[in-house]
Amino acid sequence: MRKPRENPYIPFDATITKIVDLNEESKSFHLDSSELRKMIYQPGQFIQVTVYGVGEVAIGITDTIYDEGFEVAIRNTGGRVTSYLHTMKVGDIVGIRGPLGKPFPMDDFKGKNLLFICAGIGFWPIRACIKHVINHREDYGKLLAIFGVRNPSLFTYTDEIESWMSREDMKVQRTVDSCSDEDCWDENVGLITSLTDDFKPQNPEDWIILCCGPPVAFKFIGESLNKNGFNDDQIWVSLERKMKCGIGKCNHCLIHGTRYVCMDGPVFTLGEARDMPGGLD
Amino acid sequence: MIPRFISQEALKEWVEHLITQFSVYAPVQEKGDYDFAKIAHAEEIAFDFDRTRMSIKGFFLKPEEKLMSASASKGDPVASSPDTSKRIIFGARPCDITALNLTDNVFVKDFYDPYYMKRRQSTIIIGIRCTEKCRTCFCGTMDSNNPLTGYDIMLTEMDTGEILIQAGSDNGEKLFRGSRHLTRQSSEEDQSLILKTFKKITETFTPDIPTTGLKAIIDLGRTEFLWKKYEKICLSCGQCVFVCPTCWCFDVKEIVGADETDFGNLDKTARIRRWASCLYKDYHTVSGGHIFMPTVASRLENYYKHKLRGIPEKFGVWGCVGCGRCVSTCPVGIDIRESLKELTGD
Repeated sequence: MRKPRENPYIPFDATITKIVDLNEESKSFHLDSSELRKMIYQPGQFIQVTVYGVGEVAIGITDTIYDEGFEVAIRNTGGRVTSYLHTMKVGDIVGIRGPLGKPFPMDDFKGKNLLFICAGIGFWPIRACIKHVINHREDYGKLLAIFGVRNPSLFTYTDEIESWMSREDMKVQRTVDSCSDEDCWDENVGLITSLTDDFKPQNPEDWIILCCGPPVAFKFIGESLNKNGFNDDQIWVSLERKMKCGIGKCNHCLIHGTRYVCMDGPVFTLGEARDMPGGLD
Repeated sequence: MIPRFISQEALKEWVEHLITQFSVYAPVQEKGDYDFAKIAHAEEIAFDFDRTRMSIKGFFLKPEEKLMSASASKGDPVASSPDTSKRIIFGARPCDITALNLTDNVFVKDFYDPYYMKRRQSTIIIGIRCTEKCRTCFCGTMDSNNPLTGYDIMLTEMDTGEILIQAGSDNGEKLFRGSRHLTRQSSEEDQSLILKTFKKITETFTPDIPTTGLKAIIDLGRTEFLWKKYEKICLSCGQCVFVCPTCWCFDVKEIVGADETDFGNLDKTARIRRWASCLYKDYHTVSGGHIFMPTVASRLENYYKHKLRGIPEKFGVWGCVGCGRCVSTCPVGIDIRESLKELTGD
């Protein structure tokens, strides 16, 4: 935890040590610094990445403490900060604040079966959960991970996903919204809900669902799961909002005048998110 | 401290004395309204002010300030140090002090904001209690006419014209040491005078609008009619936010060429914080173009619910202190008192 009298607006520096292309619009930046090595973080939390003189951007943590070093995955959205980040090179300096926000309560899920729903780059924060669970495999029951992207070229961390597919204690399903003839594949084609619609386990109450993706996906995924007997309090989502301070002061990420995504979230149950008008916008 | 009395003339003499020791800010008349300004003489104070155009929040959360400097290529961020020379705000109104108690909590809770708090700790607040309602007052409704903390000294004009001095902190007591000759001790005979004056004040500030059921009404969710109605006229200009003592929205941005003495050097960067408004569309627009509160109605809903629901839940007080500055400044005439009446069906 941050010491109470430390200045919460000031980042610490980290050096880019490696850059990996994840897909045509996303890169992973491996970072290092003495402060970063001391940073303790949990699945679901986020950090603020500063490009000095350009801006700061909130990024969900995809890394886990079980990996060497620290990496952030960043999609070039065309915004000032992410597009600048995509021009940066090994050796360049960025600033980091965090970890911020509440994590997924992974300990509360012990003994449960887990369904991970990863829509688009919503996979990245969930990736931290999957890795956490695999490192504490005996604490959890059945595992199913569902991945959906617009077309096959947009999958990221494919080697990892395929290593999970080869595990006997975990099931993985993938789908693409659509694909062209020359670039198609033999796995599922259709929206992510085409897979969740078919997810009808015998005892839905034994399952916890961890979901991340664009907010519009939450509505449809939620409906699909509700139909199969899952209630909104079993479904956990990670919300995105415009953020500036990340520490519950600036009010940018306030939803419905009552909840800060940065402090009360970004992780909420679907029930909590639905209770806040605009929560799933 | 046992309350003491000071005459209006002696009060000015005391202020003159304070000016020799501190920077003193007080309400002055400017362009047909009142504003806090640094004064050189007690004569400059507009003692007849009802309320100032802007609240005192800007003394602590500056309209714009530098949070840190850094190098674009090397990083090395260095936090800026706010000016912490001792100063006095003379003439803060009870509503503004109530708002200050709220923002004090905001900037301490969970994460300590050193910029706000260092300024706050180096500022002495001398309040002047209202004895009559100001032009847009509904502080009685919002329970903000009688703050119990947040001031170092509170002055109350008695029916006789004499002024009652109450200390609210050790700093306030210290401020009077050395100037006691300007004041007189209160005695038992003053009790009836004090009671009479305060009874009158209490009666003046009884609530105009019933707020007891407000939380239930908002939670019921039958509020959309109001946002839809205002959406047709609200310009999303954010003026209500800037004049509001309990609005603390801000933006943070990075700039280059930030060193005034080395302006052409783009490597010198700074992190700037400035007031912003949750009513602006770009306040909710993320990179990629998605707008989380795309309609004026959705932003108005967030604004009102933060004040009337979110802030009470988190901090135990209303997020409105009933100063009515938003009423005075709104270019299209939206009146929060009318909003409250519509919500409560009054």
